[in-house]
Amino acid sequence: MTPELIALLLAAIVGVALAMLLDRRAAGSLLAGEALLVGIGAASGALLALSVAGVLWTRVSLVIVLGGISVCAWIGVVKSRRPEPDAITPRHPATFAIHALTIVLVAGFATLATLAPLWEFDFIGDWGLKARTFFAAGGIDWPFLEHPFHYDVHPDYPPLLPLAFDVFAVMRGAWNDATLGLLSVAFAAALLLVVNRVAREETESSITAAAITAAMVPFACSPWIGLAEGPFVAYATTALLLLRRGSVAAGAVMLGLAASTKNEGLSLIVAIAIALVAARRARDLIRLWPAVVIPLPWLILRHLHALQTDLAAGNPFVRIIEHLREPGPLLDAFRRYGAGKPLLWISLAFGIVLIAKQLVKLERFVMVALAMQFLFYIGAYLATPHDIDWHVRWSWERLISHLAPALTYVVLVRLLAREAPATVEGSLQPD
Amino acid sequence: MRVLSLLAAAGIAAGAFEPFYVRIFNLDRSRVAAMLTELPYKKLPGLRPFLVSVRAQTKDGDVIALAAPLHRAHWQGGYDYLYARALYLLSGRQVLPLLDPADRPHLENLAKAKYIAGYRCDPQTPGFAVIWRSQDGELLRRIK
Repeated sequence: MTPELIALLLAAIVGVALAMLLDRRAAGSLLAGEALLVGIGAASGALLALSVAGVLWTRVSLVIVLGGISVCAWIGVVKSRRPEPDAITPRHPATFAIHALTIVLVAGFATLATLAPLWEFDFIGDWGLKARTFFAAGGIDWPFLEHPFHYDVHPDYPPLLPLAFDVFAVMRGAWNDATLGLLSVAFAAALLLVVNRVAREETESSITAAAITAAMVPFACSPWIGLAEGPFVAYATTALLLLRRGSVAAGAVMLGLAASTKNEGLSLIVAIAIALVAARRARDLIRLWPAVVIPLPWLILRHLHALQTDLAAGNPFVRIIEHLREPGPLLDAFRRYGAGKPLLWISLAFGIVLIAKQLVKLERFVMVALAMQFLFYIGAYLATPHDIDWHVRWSWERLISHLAPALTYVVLVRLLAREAPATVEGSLQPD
Repeated sequence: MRVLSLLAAAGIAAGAFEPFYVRIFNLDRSRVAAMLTELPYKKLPGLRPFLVSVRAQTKDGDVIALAAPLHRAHWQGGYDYLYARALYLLSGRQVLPLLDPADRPHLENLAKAKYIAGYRCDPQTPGFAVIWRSQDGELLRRIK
């Protein structure tokens, strides 16, 4: 597993500098989490750039590009002045016991993730297949993506995750699908690092923050190992938490990386833009530009290569109208395939009722963003060219897993914080 | 109110908890690993070792046509199951189906193929000779 760990270390070194430039308030575990997320994104972007430039993927070419990004970013860090990090409450000794529980759970997840070659069909038939094919080609294999036989591999899906797998493969010099689960662990750890620091700053209690972090483990450690759910949850949830606290530049970059991981990230950009307006933060809209710029190269490339998109096939508006006229099959499918873990949803609903006023007044940004994204997901089901029952069966629980972490976080923080952490209506804001 | 809040938070944590991430430390992990390795291929017994052997005897860029006593029928006939997995395990090679979505023979793909990988079948084809055989299938190579 050494080459994969070196790849993650390289990504983190690049990522630390980029995170320091993007988020001047980030410190401690927040900086570490952002560094991993941005670093993995940068390494994937480096492979995309090499491929577009026609340079064969090798360990040397990847390290040169990452080294270049790193040097530029570190020069920027040295030249810029970072403010002193916000003072945080000292750690209570009991915190370590709770963190130990978190570490045990993440270690269990890591054990599972690296136990065998990744086994999910969507890894073998989509994310992993593309990564392995690209690695064999030494770059993005456009003829493979364009071939009509390969329609089922979703050639239009954003490439961040396959390229991240390829970063591992390039560093190893071979394809080893028994170690690729480490990437899922890295994304999970990054999100938990972000959650812990943000919660600690907001609740002003290291014990409460540690408890929230431990409770968030099952959300960060996505059971769909090797699929894009885990990385998407990490990027999307981090984007929501950062934008919520006013770290717009870093949040927008995370949002752009979410949109480079799953197409759902594109709808999340729109959902977040609407939420900013609803939270009376329309002035921040323009600052979301990195969220649009980061996925743009892939959108252009997929258009140039005419890659097939299943949801847009035929006339989606006709399908939406047809499904709205007869909503029975969709509602039946929702009833048949639950969102899993009833105790979680009952407790969340109970918690939401307890703090409904706070959520409406102080968490409008996150709540509106999640509600809009949920509506977009319903819209996708209405527009589906596939059998609705089949589509809901194989995606509903995964789509809900995109929304649950941010919702759970804000509910837990509001339930457990002794005093309301926000002073500005709509969402948290920096000074 | 504070007690109710703590109760709700405890319910959320308990409801979200994933016991498998603790149980895994007490499991026979080598057995679980073997099960997970075969899991994506289990509907077609012997498929994984068959494709791994085909991979070992071919190289990147080779064109391999896939034969099997299966049909397509909108993913229900087994051929798509086989084809999707062959694409992954034979990545780097060009894997061509010998059936179109309507289950008609794709004979033009046979003309392009350097190899025929026959899963649990003996696709005797003029111009090809068997170069490897196992209980799960055989690999034929173009000889002219």
